[in-house]
Amino acid sequence: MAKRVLVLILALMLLGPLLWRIDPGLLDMRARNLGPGLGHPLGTDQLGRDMLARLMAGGRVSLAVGFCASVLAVVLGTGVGVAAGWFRRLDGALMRLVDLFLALPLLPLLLLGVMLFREPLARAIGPAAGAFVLIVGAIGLTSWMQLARVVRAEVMALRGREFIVAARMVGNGSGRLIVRHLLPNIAPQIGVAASLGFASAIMTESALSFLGFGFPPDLPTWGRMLAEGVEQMQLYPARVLLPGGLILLTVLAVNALAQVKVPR
Amino acid sequence: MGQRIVERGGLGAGTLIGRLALLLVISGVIFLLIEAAPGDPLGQVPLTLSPEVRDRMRAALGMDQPWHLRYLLWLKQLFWIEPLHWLGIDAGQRLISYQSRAPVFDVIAERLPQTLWVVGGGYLAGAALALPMGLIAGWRPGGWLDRACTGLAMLGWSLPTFLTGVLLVLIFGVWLGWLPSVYDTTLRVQGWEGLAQQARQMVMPVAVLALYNAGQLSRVLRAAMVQAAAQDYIRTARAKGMPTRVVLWHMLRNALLPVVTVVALGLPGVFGGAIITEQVFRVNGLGQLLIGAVQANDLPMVLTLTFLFGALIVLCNLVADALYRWLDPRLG
Repeated sequence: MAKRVLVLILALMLLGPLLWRIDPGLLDMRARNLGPGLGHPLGTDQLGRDMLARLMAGGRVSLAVGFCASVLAVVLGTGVGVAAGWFRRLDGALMRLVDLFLALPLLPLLLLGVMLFREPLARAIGPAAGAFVLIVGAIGLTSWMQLARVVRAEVMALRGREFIVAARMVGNGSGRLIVRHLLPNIAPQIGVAASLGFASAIMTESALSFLGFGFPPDLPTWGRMLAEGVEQMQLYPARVLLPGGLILLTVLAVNALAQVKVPR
Repeated sequence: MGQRIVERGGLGAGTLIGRLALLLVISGVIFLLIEAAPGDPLGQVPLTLSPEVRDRMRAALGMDQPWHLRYLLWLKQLFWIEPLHWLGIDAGQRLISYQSRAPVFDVIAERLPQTLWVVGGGYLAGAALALPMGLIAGWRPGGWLDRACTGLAMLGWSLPTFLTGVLLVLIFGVWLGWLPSVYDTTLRVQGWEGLAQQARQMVMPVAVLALYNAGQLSRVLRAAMVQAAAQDYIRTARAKGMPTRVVLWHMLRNALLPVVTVVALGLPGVFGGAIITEQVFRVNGLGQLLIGAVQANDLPMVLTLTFLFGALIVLCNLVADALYRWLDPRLG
């Protein structure tokens, strides 16, 4: 069930724009606030933009943010966790770092970081790309700590096992041991953390957009569309319900999948 | 009492000093993040001002000093002047907000009650909801009640607070018209009518936070109940023919241990979630204060608020440690 929902959403967001070719940014002032109809299956918004096209474009951005941020968090978390669990000399310092990050007030710092670095980055690589890099970076940098702890514990449990000791006696170096023998054995935990991270990154991005700290106005994301829809919620509830429902469905499906796959 | 917990918990002076050092490091990290960013508190000032005026404004804000001096001054104001001010001693210039030109802590004290009402209510209601949910789910794992409760918890956990808030406003505020959709911040609670009005406007923000908290708490409680059910003493109690009520009580006492920790550790996260909830319902609490201050580049306010959030996390960690060790003598 969860898998089917997820595949459906992914297919709609990734392949949909190939079939539904209306430009999501196209303004049509004569077709504002239309209800669902033949020309616009989900209607249009207050500027006459097609809702279906905007939902698909916004979904692509939201999913891309979730994917990139969780990849960043997984790389950081796995790297720190393996380094701390494998190399004893690094353990103390790295775990202090994890503790420090866990004690930082993350949401206030996210807001602050986005506000402070938005303009310089936008000037350097353009507003859309700047916002994307900033938000992915900010979410990734603030969500790797739990995984680092889990990976460290797993690595410590594995390093004494016979097959690791044997592989080391044969003469394998640390790098080869980690890549060939350690990582494949902690892959399930990493997979679960990655999918949970994907879901929470989508939620964080939406929350940032909702608070007005997300992407620039011309780039739709689900969170942004929801925030824009709140003002006209009384007249056009669909503008809140559609992006909100898509966020909820995606997050629920990913969380449900991750729960099924939790290693025992 | 506090002293006893600390002693029994084995949290000696070393740990306390470590936590204080952590606080100092957090304050440094927050300060350096702001310092590293190319923002300017005079960014909103018109370009037509002459450079001399601009420099004098900068000097008036203390921005002409090098960063380490400003950091030390901020620390002194935070840890020395403000506490002395509460004791009624005037020790120097207090922390002043750029935005309102009022002392930062006076503004915070003004906003704190609203946040505490909403966060506290949400937390209590969440715990009250999570306790039966976790109990029912953990009592017969795999049964239909378990599946219903786990599903509900999953929903509460996956629903972003801004979406729940907006949905509640849409249903109860707009369609049904039962509850006010905007928090009336000028309301003074005087007499029963005022109290009823306050309760009515608190229902939705509290419900949003409660659902979110209940989702997390009931998962932990369920897992702990399932774990406790497999213990030998439970089998013994059942074998002796103890009534369900007694067996349940045995399980609950042990299963509540991790829950207590999660309750204490989760408090800062709830304050974070309250930032979003406050924005949805326009509650003028600390979250709204923070967002306004970040947008206006009000550095003293942002620094102090962010630091207070960090201090709350450290404090909750300390309390969770102490509570856990106090409740579970095996660790002490």
